[in-house]
Amino acid sequence: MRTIQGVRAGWLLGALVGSLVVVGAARADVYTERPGSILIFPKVVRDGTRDTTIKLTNTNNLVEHVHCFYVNGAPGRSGAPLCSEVDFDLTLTRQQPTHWTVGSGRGTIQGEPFGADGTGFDPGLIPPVPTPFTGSLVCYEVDVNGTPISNNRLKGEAVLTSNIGGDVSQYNAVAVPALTQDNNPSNLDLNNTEYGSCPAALRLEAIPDGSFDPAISAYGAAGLCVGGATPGAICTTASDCSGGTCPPSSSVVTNLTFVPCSLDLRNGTTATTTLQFTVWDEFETQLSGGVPESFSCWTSFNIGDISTMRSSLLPGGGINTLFANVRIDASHPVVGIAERFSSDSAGNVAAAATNLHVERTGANARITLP
Amino acid sequence: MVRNESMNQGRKLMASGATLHRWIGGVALAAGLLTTGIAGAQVPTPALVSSDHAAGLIMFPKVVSDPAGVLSNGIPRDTLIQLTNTDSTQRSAHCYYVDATPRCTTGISRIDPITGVCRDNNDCTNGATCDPDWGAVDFDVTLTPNQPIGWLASSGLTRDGICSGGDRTGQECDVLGGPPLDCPGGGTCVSLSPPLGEVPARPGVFVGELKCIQVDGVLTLLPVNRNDLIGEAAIYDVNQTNVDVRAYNAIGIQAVSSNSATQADTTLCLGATTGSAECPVAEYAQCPSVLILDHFFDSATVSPGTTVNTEVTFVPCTENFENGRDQIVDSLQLLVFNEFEQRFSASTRVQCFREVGLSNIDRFPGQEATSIFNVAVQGTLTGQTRIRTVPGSETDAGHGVLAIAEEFRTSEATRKSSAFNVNYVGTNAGRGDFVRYVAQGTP
Repeated sequence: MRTIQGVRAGWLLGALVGSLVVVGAARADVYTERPGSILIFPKVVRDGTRDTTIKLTNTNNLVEHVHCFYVNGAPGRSGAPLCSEVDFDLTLTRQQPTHWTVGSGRGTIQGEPFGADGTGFDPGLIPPVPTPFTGSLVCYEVDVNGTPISNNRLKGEAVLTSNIGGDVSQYNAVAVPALTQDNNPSNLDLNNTEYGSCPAALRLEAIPDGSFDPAISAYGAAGLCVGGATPGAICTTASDCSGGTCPPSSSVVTNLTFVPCSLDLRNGTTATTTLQFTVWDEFETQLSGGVPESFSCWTSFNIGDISTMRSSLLPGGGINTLFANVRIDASHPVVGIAERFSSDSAGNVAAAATNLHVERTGANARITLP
Repeated sequence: MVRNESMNQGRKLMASGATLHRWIGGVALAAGLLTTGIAGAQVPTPALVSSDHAAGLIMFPKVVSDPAGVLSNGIPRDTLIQLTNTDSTQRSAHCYYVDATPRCTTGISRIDPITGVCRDNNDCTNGATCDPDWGAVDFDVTLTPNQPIGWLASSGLTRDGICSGGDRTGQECDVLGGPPLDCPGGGTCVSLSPPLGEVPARPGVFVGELKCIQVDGVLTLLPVNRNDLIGEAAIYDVNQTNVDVRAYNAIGIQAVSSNSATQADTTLCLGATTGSAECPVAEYAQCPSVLILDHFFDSATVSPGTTVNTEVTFVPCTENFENGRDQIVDSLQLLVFNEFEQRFSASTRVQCFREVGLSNIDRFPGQEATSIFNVAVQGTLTGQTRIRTVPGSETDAGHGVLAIAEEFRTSEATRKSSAFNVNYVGTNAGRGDFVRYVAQGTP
């Protein structure tokens, strides 16, 4: 028979263990390769030259309801980002994958032919974005009443496709894990209690803007012949120029895109975030600098816009090596991705996107829902 | 120091009374204090397998070097590898290339008579088979605080310095401090100090993986409890008329402890293994039990005239660099879901390294249209494939696998690609993986 002392001891032990479990579980970052309750696609583009395909999957054996919103970071009449929001709802059956292209959205047309773009259970009406649209997509798990829930069962990728030449790049959506059940329908707290915390510092493995692309230099249209028998011809080395030279002209440009984790969708306002960059080259030389302008709901820029991340081959550039290590410190928690564009002397351009590395997590962030 | 010579391989308690309330209050206070105390002490984040966090063991599942395009329709293929120390202290890494290049057992191939590289048995003569070598080549690098390095797999890093300034700034050079023969345009050839080390070139055709272990120094090569390495690989298909690049982040396996202590041996315990004297507790994060891949079904038309196909590259978490041929075989069970919630299954095996088109998991080449990974069978454009590893009963090896995916979009005129890291969930409790290597002067 249990005694009151036993009950007390059990309570004490249970409470202490419970505390440990809660606290231990409350440390979490964001992830790019594990399902979560909030998905952030930092770079969604439809600008006339590129479009974006979203892949979104329910990894749950139960039906998942999802609420999504696009945040349009395209500049408005004043030149400042619009930061307008359009939202929609999805329902995914167990383990259902779905996809759509943001320029066309996805309808609810039944009976589409086998193998066609819209074939499958339509998850709901997904509106197309306008042109131009340069912004982000945020999706989160909800119950049937639209209240945020914490199943951690969503994952996704975004594919950026060029309308000219069909070049593609792809990145994983940033997943924010839910840590406790969220019954507050008015906001999502990314505070390491309700949801995981967003990064305050990120890492980029960079090639400074303006550098020659090493692979193009080795095999591709690295330059155009100067002198010799075939001036102006595409060349890889001087041996392609019949007595002339082949000055290198390939180049690398890296574009960074960031989204703040605090978004006030109810009032359409977002705190200003400032990014600071610390750069190390291969000689351990350290350079630092900031973006000339801070941003609100979305920003995307080439690292060459910042002199400290520009090759010395470019005017005002400061990096003398081919590779650089960049630490990005944000004044407010952010997520982001990098996209590198390699171009050759023949005008071919290829893009490749990667997720940024998380250096450390930041202060609390809140998404205030409409 | 340079080493590249080896081939080693939850009910309520209903009660009343002041005593009990005092007890509850005390418990709540104690719990609160404990909670605050622990939180204040910052409970460390659990060790992760992750491609977006620095780690003590990082994997590049797919590295390809094929300058002549022997295996890529004549278009040169190469991999640009970047490796970075994210710490403000000098750090070292011990790395292994695992060579999974398929070669004819007789050394004679119809497509490459010199190296014997082959695509399948049909490329080999006299009944020879087309098999991977699975040899490993190791090298060491020392990275100064926050130092980034990079190299093309085909050429490695074999020279003395780097041009600073001039027309070739950032390129490798040989002439240290001398006349700028290698660095025209006013550049100077500058030596890295301390010496970085040498990354061996992978000339000819190379298909395989690269693993780098953070070690305490290049003299002892013992693993160290740190998580400072990040990496990225970009695979190029490039010639004078075409450029195509796909990139992925190296997969990091974090050390459980980051106390900077040197580990006692050169067996890395990726998770704890029940019954193992060697790995009763985890030294590194455990590999996942289920990989989750979102993909277009093969041959799906994603835009007029453009179809898509996906390749996956699997590498095992258990690796034996003491004996490259002593590699474990992993069985994978695959569940495929289409956009109608219909489920299909398949299985396959992985040993050492496997790159495979999705439709060739369950069908031979030429039969892809009947694969469960093909749009002609599934009818919807996208699918989710859950890849479950089958745990074994061994106490000295595990069966975890990791993977990256490449998506190829083909039209009449072009072939463009992208790469991405595969998602995962779960672990097989008590079924860890083992990475073994040999270090100089260690038992």
